[in-house]
Amino acid sequence: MKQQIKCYDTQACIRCFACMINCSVENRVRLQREGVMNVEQSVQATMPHFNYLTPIRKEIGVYPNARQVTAFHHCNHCENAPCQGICPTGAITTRSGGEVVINAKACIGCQSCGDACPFDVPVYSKENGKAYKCTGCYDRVENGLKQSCVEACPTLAMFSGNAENVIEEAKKRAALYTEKTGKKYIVYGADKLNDYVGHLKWITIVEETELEAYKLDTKPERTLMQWRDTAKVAGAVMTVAVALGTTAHFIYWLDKRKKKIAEKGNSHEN
Amino acid sequence: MKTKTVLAYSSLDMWFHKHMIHFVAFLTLSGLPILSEKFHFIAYGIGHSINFLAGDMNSEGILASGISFLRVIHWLSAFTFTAIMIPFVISMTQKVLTLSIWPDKWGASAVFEGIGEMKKNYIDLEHAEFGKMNTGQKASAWLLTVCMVVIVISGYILIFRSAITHDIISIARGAHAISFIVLAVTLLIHIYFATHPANQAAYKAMFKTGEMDEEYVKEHHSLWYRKLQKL
Ligand code: HEM
Ligand code: SF4
Repeated sequence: MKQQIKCYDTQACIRCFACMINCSVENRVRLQREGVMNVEQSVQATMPHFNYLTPIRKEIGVYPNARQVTAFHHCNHCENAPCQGICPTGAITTRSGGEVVINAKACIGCQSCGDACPFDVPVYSKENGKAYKCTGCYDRVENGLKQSCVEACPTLAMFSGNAENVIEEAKKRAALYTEKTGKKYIVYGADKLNDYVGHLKWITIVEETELEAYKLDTKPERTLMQWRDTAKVAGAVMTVAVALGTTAHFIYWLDKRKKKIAEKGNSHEN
Repeated sequence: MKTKTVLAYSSLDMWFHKHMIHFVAFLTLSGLPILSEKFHFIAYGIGHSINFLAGDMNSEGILASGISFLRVIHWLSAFTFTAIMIPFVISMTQKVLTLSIWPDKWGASAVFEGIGEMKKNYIDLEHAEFGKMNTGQKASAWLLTVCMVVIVISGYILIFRSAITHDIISIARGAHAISFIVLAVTLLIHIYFATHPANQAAYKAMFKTGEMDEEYVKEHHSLWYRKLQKL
């Protein structure tokens, strides 16, 4: 399967939140399909750990120029997914289409993924002791359907497809908005943000000065977790160095001691 | 005739040191597979046995079972280790000023002098002027203590994570792992010197008698010997 990317266009969004609702519906339907819950149960249970797509609404600017913006908090399906790197049970994998997915069967709820995620995405369910986050609807996508959020969007503010096509379309839209408004629009996440996360597979078309309002972090970091990665390499190197150094010293010491004893013997004889 | 001896380690020191080895071994063995997939074989070995006994041969669950089990071991060892640490820490704080962790002489030149003495002992195999601990031992005692304090504090932050913000938890996670790595490498060096045949007397004192022959101390820890004589 070719790399899939989702894109959220802040300009085309009408804040209807159909994406969020369809995401919730899809997660409930999945439970019904898998025989985990019946329809009534799955509709009534709140199951907050299934809120993969959380809109955060706020007003920016001062009246009369104030307006609403909606930041979406969700998994970005990072190229170098730090959650996948840290998960001790191998529960997190990247599908061939690029979706970073937690396998609930292998998840032990240690919350390491949350320690590593610079976007604070995986949520821990106290109910069943497992971590949850957006799966990129990989089951739908691998069967030729669109992600449920994308499918629901009435204005194509949420769109998806093969990486090249989506990035091309996103850049086209950003250029158009820049031309029409005179403000610079960019495609957040299309290019590598840093080594820790790489590029994102959920990108956003946004006006450059509004990155913060949309809670789009251009330097997603977890400094000590990054040092931890470096320390692991340094630790391996140091362990080898200590092993070699001590062995060499021991051989040297045995030899030197022999010589010393021989020297002493000689001086006694004289 | 019984040779005169010097008390090197109290019975509490010896008791704590012995059990610390057990707990650090447990904590390391249970922590390593969480830290790095290079050590997943430990978790696979355990997980395989658990799943075999449970009749669940689903291969997805092997690593998960092993890691779950090791986490329980890690947490239990951590609690027990903390409990036995309490009397040791109290005794250490009471006599902290008389411990041999403080430099015999201060200043940068004293450090080089100390390193020079270590070279005399371990490279030239000549007589060196040591206190109870040489400069390297003092440095490693400090390093190990700092690492241990960081490991324990960060470990408890990780255990009580539900009450703490994400930023702090991730700092604790990094600090726990980094201080473990520094500790582990320092311990390898510590173990080499501790089990080195040249240091048999100290090994015997720590694990068996708590005492060292006075003649040995006079020869190998001359500064300490002089200090003891003055007392
Ligand atoms: C005594 C207090 C300690 C506590 C409360 C503690 C607790 C923890 C916790 C909660 C974790 C996270 C994994 C999990 O949730 O199970 C962890 C990881 C770990 N611990 Fe400890 N621990 C302690 C001491 C030690 C010691 C003494 C060592 C080794 C000498 C050690 C080595 C490790 C390692 C290597 C990891 C994996 C770290 C990583 O993957 O980032 N711990 N510990
Ligand atoms: S909580 Fe689950 S998915 Fe997250 S790191 Fe732990 S085992 Fe892996």
